[in-house]
Amino acid sequence: MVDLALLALIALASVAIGSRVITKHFWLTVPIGFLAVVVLRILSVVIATAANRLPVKIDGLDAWVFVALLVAFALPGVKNLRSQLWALSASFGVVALGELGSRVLGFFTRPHGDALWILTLAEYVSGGGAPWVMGTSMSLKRGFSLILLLGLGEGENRIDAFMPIIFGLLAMVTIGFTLLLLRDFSRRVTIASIAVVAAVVFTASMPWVAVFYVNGHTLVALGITVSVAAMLVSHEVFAHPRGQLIAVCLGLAVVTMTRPEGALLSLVVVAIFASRHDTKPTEVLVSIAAVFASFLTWMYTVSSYVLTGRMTWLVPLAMVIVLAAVWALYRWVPKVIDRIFALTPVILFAVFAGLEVVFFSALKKGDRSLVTNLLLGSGGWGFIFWGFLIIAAVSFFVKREMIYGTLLRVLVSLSLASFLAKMVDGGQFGSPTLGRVGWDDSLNRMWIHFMGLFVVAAIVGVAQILTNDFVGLKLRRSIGASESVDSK
Amino acid sequence: MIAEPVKNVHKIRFSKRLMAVVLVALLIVSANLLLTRRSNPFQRLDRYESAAELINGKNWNWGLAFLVRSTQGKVSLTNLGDLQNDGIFIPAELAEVNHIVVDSSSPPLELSADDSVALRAISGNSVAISKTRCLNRFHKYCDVRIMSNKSINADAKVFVGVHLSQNIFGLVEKQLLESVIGAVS
Repeated sequence: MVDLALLALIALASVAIGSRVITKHFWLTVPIGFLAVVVLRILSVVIATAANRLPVKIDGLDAWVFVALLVAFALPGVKNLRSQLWALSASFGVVALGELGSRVLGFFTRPHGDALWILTLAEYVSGGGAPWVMGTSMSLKRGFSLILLLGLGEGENRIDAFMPIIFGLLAMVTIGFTLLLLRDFSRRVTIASIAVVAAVVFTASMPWVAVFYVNGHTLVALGITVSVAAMLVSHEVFAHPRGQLIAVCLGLAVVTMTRPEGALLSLVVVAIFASRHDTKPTEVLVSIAAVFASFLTWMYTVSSYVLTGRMTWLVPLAMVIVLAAVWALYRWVPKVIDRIFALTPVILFAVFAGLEVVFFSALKKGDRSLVTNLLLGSGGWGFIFWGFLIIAAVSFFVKREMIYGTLLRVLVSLSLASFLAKMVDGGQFGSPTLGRVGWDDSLNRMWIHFMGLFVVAAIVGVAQILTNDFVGLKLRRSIGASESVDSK
Repeated sequence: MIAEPVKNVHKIRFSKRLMAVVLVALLIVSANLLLTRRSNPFQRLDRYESAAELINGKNWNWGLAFLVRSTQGKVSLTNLGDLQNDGIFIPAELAEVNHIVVDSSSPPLELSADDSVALRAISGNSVAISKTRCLNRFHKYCDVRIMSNKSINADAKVFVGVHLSQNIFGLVEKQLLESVIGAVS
């Protein structure tokens, strides 16, 4: 009963907090509010960990601090609730469906070692365990924020319903963003494009696995999709002058604190959008600072092995130097830094290709596994990626929507960053690797991170194939005045 | 910068394109359904199960600490040795979660073949089998037998790591082990 009341409070707070950032699109309001809830949860553990060093100890302090933070941040948004009926319905609807699937029908994660690890630590956290236990390399690989979220249960229990709730929010932002991008297409095109992509996606098993699978991938997907959607929606729709930046930073903070590769993915997202001419240098600096601060918060709270010895101060110092360097480049040679950011996909590809050449024999098995998982159906993705490749290939022959080109650039860059993250992970123990055959290979699971954006890009791609003129092979031609989406 | 909204509504120009798109989609859907191996994307539980309940009986690679806890309670483990060289490995967080004290400062005791046989021959031994990382990361996993005997010690508190054979280790209750090989320091 306490768990249910807490979920209801989270549903309400998501709308109240989200409506302080954006009121116009409920499909962004609720997920942004939920991402804020995740950040507040982490903050509550940070505060409780510091407080527990005092002589007086209070049982369940982190949960009480969380509720207090939730109420404090939601209260100013309560006045918006009357105009947020769609958002309220969506928020409570997602929670109700999550509870129905998880608690009433008893659906639960596909068995997997990482999931068991996360469930174990979540119970440990809900039972009042200290977070320093999660500072080892084995635990850091399993992430942080999701463990704390699941560990909000009463007593030593977990709240498993968070997994379908996160998936529901991901579905919400994916559908809302898609419909916004397709608003200039006829209803027939919209229905045909969505139906075709939905049929292809939901006949594969991984999108279904992601609904209940206990791991940080779906939460990362939510953070990335919200960040990218918030950056592409016109800043005028935000209720707060800094609303767009707040939404982006919330998404990137959650991505950074949910998976070990999260910081890299977040920085790649920042770099891609930094190259847009309507992005201000202060926004770029604040976004990078948010990623760094989130990473350090995680590492210090769990007493990570990464920050021991000299690294305790070297890592933060390196981050300050990077920020200062970016600021200095913006100050004196803005064109150079714009160019560097614009070349993000090229730089990532060059590093990836270089590593492929240097570690050719070590990566041979991983390359084969990658092809087997993604293109031959062994990774649980069916033949989805064939569809995506066909859409992308045909799109080079039609007038492309500007937004499609942007999404493609984001997806290619994030995919390359995932390859590099996987290589680094494997490289810790010898030669770099690109994984093995099977749905549970970590690189194969990382594609869940981009599921929302893949679906949006695929639907827009199909819509433009159905409607736009064939122009022959044009790699650069796009239509649309700007990458921003006006939502008047 | 805000984009100018596109005034003209995009419509399907050629029904042939729609046909082609639907055809390709049907091909992929058919391949998804017919050519890939299907397994349940999630499981169904009749009731809430704790992590320990989920782990016990699943032969999880990291389930050793849970099995020790569920069969022996809150105990101490000594002589686990070094993962990189000669020992077995229980992650610190899983030991902490299960309230197990782990001492890895000494390597597992090497049991002679005779001692090994003598240990197994004692009547009333209870044995639970799990596995964990061992002998360096490339070897991956070794079987571990958790052995105790209530008639020798009803209140088991300390278990000693022993090397039983090439890839098999034991966590043997201290008094039970001493009944075979004499005093253990």
